[in-house]
Amino acid sequence: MNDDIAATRADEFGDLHAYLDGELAPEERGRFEQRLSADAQLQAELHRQQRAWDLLDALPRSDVGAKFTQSTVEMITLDAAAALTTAETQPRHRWFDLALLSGGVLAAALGGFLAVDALRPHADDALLKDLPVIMHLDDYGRTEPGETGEFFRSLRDAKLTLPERGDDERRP
Amino acid sequence: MSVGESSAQSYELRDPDVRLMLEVRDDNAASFEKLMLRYQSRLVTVLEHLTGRRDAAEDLAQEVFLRIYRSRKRYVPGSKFSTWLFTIANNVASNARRSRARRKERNVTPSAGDETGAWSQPSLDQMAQAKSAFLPTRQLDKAEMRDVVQLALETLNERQRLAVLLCKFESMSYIEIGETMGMSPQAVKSLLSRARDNLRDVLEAYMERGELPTRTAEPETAEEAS
Repeated sequence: MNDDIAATRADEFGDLHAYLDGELAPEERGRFEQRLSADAQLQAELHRQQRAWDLLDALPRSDVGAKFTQSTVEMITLDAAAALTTAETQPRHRWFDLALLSGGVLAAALGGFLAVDALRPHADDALLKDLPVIMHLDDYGRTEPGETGEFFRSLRDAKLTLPERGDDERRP
Repeated sequence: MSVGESSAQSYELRDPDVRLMLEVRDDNAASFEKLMLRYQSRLVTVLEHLTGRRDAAEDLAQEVFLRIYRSRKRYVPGSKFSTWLFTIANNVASNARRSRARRKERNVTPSAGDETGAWSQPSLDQMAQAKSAFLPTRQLDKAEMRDVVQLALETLNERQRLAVLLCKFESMSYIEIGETMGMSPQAVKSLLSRARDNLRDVLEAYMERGELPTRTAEPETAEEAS
């Protein structure tokens, strides 16, 4: 019960602050003023609050002079000049950095492509290696039994020997 | 026309400072100077009471104007100019406070009550110690009143203090304070309500019993931090 009364008083005092700050809506203000006129305790509290608030008028107000204005303007001017200098130099640096980066990326891509291409086994490699044999394939077909030894000797003399067995096995 | 565009036009029509800022956006230096002259003292006042130091307040105010100038090309009116300016001021002050807190962590063991990087105010603390004698209820002179109210303000945490300063000095509504501090209007209402109660308690204690405010700002509640 006492808690309810205290809560009601707290609400009223809360409205009192809003009333003093001019924050009550017209209808709320009307209701509050009705309560106020009938409540001596609320009137006393209003008076105490108003008196304490009015004492804040004793607080000094600063008055900064022309010196403050001048130093602030100078500070802002210097800042603006520095910003302007940065703005003039920054785009050139950005373009330069961008061009440098693009060139680097392109060079790296080209180098990578060439390296991979050089290391990759080509299908034509075996054909190129066997080209001398392939060119004389018809001659090999015409060899008679018994001529084999002489035939291979002639091939060897002409530097057209077939690869040895081991080479065939290693070839893909 | 989109809602954003109509809102921007509405602020442009209603707020002459928004119109000046739009001229600044078009590189009109004279308009920027006009805005500075209109706001520099107001801004330094709020920052000085927030930080407790005039030199720090002026440094922060210059940083605020520098940020405004740097961001002029992106400016779109989305609120009153003063709300926008104090939002930037709040961000700048918060960043500075965090930097101070980090430096303190690195350099020294923080003393009690100074762990949040809150701005130290040796002059006010010394003054509080010097005036520790019991004072009866009486009429305070102007200078004494000013010192006591400053101390009372120091008892608030920084969010409460900023809300009070924006409400009292800048006559901002709860919505505008909420925009500035990134809070809902309801949270601002709660924040200001607690701040007002704290100020009343501290100031009454001094006026009636001569008890000087002590600089132990209460921690933020979850609602205040939201």
